[in-house]
Amino acid sequence: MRQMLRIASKDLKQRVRDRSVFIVGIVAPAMLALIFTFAFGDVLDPSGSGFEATYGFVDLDGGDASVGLGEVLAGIDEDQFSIESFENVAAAEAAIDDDELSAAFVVPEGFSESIGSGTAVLEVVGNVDAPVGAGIAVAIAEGYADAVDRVTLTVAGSLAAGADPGELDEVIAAASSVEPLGSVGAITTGVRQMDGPTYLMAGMAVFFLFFTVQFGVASLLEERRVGTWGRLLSAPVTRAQAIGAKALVSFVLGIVSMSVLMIGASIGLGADWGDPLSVAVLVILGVLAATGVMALVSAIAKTVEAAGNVQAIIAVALGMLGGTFVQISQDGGLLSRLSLITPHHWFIRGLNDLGGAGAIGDIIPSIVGIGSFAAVTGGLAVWAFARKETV
Amino acid sequence: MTNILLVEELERSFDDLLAVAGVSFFVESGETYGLLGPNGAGKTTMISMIAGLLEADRGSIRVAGQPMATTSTAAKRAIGLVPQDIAIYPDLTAKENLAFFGSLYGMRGAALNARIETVLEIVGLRDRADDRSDQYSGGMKRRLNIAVGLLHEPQLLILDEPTVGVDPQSRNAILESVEALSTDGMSVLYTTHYMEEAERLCDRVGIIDNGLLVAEGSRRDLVDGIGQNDTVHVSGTGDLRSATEALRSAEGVVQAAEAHGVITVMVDRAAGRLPSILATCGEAGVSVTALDVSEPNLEAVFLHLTGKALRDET
Ligand SMILES: Nc1ncnc2c1ncn2[C@@H]1O[C@H](COP(=O)(O)OP(=O)(O)OP(=O)(O)O)[C@@H](O)[C@H]1O
Ligand SMILES: [Mg+2]
Repeated sequence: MRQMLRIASKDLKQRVRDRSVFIVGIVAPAMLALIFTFAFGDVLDPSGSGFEATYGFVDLDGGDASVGLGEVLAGIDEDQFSIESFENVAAAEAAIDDDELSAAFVVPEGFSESIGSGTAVLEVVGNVDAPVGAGIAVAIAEGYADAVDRVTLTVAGSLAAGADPGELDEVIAAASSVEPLGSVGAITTGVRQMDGPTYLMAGMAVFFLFFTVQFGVASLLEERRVGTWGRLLSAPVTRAQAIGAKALVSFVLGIVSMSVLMIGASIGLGADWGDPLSVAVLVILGVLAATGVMALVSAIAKTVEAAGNVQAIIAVALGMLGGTFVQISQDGGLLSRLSLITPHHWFIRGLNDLGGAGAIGDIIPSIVGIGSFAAVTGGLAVWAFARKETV
Repeated sequence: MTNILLVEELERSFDDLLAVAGVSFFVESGETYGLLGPNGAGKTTMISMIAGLLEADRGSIRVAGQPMATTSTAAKRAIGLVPQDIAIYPDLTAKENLAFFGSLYGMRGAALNARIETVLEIVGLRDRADDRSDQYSGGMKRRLNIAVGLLHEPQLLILDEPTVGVDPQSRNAILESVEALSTDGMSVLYTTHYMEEAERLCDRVGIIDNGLLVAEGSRRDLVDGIGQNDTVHVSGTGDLRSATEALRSAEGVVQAAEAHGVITVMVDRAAGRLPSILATCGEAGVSVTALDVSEPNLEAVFLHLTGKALRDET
């Protein structure tokens, strides 16, 4: 352990002296996130939550219960949601087809009266092009139905031109991914999503993380090139210690880069990452995942250059797939399924799930997703190093 | 005397190539032992196994009584390796390089600093100690390369061709430091393909060729072993190869070999054979530009044993 720390601290000294790790680990992601924020500031709406939806409300009932639902809808956060009333279902559906609405709530005739009899049916018509907004609408309705009790909820997809009936499942899936609501009053706080600049900073930080950690593990190949690797191993140092030191340096660099960026974003951009323990778990796992995959490349590559190229390709591919630049639509297609293997996807999803108010229990899928990636790549790296001949 | 290094039946192949073919030798405490052999003889492969960087296929190595293998940190503590290829951190200063490697041997504090000053003095780098090593000349890098190997006062210092590609002045400085260390009682294993270095530095020399130790002993033993033969170097232009062929069958010639434009001829006595050597070269179409006669030396031993010239541009 002591030998490992000695090698690691020597490496850190070299990396600090070199400075490029600061550019890659801190300056570049921070600059890019800021540039994107200014460039797309309107789209991202830095002042608000970044997420907006307009819902239609069709009241064919006019009874107490429907008025109650109308009040609930009127009471939700005005910055994010707006409500438009429609005379009939057809008008609401037309607005959905024109993408003016994310969803419409339809209260059928006789709704209030049927509540007592257990046959009340509340309908939500979702827009398949707005899965998140539609999902939230379903959640709102569910919350209402739970609160009022014995109301059956039906969900329909809009019959937009070219809409695949299968996409409806996606709307329902999106709905079920939203936390179950304890009461209707909790609706607004239950909507979890990072705001624009925060999302960008998280994306850039995790994207560049995969470049930053290379400065640790790839220096193993650099040592081999300058001949010091053999010299290290002729000293009373085991290979495991020397390789471990490199991985440790990757880990430290990754943690420092992520901490500086995320703490910087909370101070500078007012980003609220959420529960510190959960965030720390996500960051640590993310850094381990990055270290694992880059260590694997270093174990297999023959030269510094080859490793650098492969590492860059992997970092960019995982970053793009994982939605660090643009959110990959979770439409069940090939791309969305591929994105599930990336630690980036799970990292961002984890932060979204935390969304300021969540706790560690909300990020279990992310912990499993990133943890598996780290374990698989790290395990393969250890195996690749072990079967390789010395020096 | 105890053995600081004991190598037995050491063998190592790379795919089909038998690089070290069953070599046994020992180095006594305080002795300087030379491994003399041409390029590709297997010197570095042997050194790599002795320093615990490469697994042997067969055989055993003991350093200061400890078995050496790639995982033997105890045995590694006893050696100081100066690799053939310079192995220092270019972005660190001489002092930082030394301090780091010293720390790996558990050195620290004032003792480490004092020792760093001492080795910098030995290799003559004191005034450049705080410069990054990538700003050094080739010779200075070589000297720092040696300093790192010396730092922890190893029981056995292993130098693998430490003077390759070095200007004559630096080379002499390096040889002088090795001589001084040896005088101070350090055990040294020194590989080279320069006969002069082996003769100057080493108490005993092992001659290796094609992965085999073909002879071993003090310079005197080895030279005596080839009898009272003289060595004649013929420099010239033309078809040296066929001249060498012709010389091999000439009267009084024991061995002849050609390398780098020079034919090395071993003859029973130089005095009477020079005219016939010149004549044979002439017949083979070689115009001789220089001729010199030397006393028996290790190069002659090598020629005698292997039928090959050890020569290299010096
Ligand atoms: N890693 C390797 N893979 C394959 N072949 C190797 C390897 N290392 C050495 N060899 C071969 O083993 C033989 C001995 O090489 P070695 O480097 O030990 O020679 P050497 O005596 O040190 O030569 P030099 O004076 O040029 O340094 C050579 O034929 C070389 O090509
Ligand atoms: Mg060599």
